[in-house]
Amino acid sequence: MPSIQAIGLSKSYGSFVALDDATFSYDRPGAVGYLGPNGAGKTTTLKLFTHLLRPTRGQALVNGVDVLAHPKRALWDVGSVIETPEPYPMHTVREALEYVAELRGLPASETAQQIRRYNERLELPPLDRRTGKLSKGQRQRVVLASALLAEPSVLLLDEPTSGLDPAERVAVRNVLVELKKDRLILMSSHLLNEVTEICDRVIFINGGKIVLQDSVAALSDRMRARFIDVEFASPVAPAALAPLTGVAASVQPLGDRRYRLGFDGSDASRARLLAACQQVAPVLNFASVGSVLEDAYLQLMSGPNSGVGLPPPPPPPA
Amino acid sequence: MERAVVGDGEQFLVAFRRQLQFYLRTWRFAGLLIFTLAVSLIVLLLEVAVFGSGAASASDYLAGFYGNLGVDGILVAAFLGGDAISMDFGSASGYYMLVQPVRRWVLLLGRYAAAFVAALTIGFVYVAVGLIGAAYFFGAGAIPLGPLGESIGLLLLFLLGALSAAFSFSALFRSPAVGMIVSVLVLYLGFSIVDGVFALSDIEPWFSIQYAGQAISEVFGSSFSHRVVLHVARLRIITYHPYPAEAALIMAGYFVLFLVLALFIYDRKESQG
Repeated sequence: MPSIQAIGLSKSYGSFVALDDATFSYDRPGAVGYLGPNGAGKTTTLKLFTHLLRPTRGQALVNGVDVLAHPKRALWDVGSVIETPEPYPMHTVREALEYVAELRGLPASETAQQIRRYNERLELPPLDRRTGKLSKGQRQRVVLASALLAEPSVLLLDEPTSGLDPAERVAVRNVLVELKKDRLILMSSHLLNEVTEICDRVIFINGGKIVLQDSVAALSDRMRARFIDVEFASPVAPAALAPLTGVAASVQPLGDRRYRLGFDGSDASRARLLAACQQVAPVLNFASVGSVLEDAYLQLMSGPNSGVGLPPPPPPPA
Repeated sequence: MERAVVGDGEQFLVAFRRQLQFYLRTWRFAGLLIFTLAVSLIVLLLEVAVFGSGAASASDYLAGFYGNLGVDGILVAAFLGGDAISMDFGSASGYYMLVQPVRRWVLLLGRYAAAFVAALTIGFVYVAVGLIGAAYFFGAGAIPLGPLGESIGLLLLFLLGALSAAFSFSALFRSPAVGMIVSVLVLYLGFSIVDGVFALSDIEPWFSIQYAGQAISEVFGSSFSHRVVLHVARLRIITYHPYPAEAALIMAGYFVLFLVLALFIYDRKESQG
């Protein structure tokens, strides 16, 4: 089983603490989102896991191997995209990929097959084009392909869709969703909807400290949306909203067909609310306001090292 | 997927081949090659068409022609090795290579070997043009093979030493371009100035690779003096000329000391960018 483990991992530059006592452990396939504002310590963590930085204290382990003590063995089964890597500009796309494949011991036939495979899936730029002549998005796709070529069991990705256009993002997202079935992915991102779609678990970091680790499902329970925007098929006068009385905690008009409805966040209330709305008029749209991760992010990042803003976990079912 | 870890030797060969591919395609390699070829051919053509060889023997001719090899070698080493370490820490290339499962010293040695082959290619072009000139003026049979072998051996050592120094200098700077320019300035201009100052002070500049580089051409000379005193007007200038063994020792010292230093720095340096 793939695994990554941070044990009291810390990195300081003089008196500045970039990462403070980070501890987490994941030991099964899946995707872990690493979230936090700029300068929070996300990239520092990923660099410590890829031997680009040396920890001041603590350990980073990949598949049980200490990255600092045995970097070659630890990184053997790891594919990574850190910052915005640039292959050597005089190499063509094919040569840049072959270079990585050769260092990782892929036979030439398998390398050619893998390059074909990721050329189709990630729509790589022409393979004979020099990497120095690629756009940022094209280069990012080449780098992603290089990380995936040897089919590593662990992927460490620092904003993997940075610089990609929407279509490219979708392609990369689809690849990651498929890969996480049998690999462990730790990815940082600012795109919360992307993390929601790809990741099963999340780590929030702020000011170098990890402030929350949880599964996206558990976070959803804690951070249920408390508002729903409803859009009716035709204009509805406030007086016609009588069926919502006692079901919606609050009703705020947003237009002649749109209203924002407050409720307690539970699934049962949400279902009752939808039924009540359908009694008023045909419903065109019925959607939560904001996202779970967005709400959690905004509450957690409201102050340095603050994790106190989240609502408590829901009580266990009776 | 379980895959056996590739050995360091095999990864060195991969790094060497890929880095050589990179170096041979750079503008600086093409520029240095064209520059070396152009300068050596112009000198040869002027000798053939205008001035004549001006030498009494093939040995004297080669001693004169190869007098510039040290300078050319310094420039080549500085341009090829001056960004060897900073290219991975001052640009985003390091994020592509340093995260791979390969020991850093293996990567750097591969790059070093590639830079050496590229530098040697340029050096051999100059040597070849000199040999053509010697054969034209004195006949191929007159070329002294013993000193020629000695000169080429010293040239190899000289390039190894100069490249080691350039690799080390490149670690001091964040920008690859700055590293390259400073390497050129320190290795070429810096040592020229220091050698000049020491010539006035009657101290042998045994610590200078540029001083040692004189031996590449001086092994052809028919008369050799280790210490020469010149009186220019009221100025007394002492010039030293290295013994071949001494020059080899200085070059080997540069090669080992600076390469170890470069490997150490490359291994310990962090990508803080």
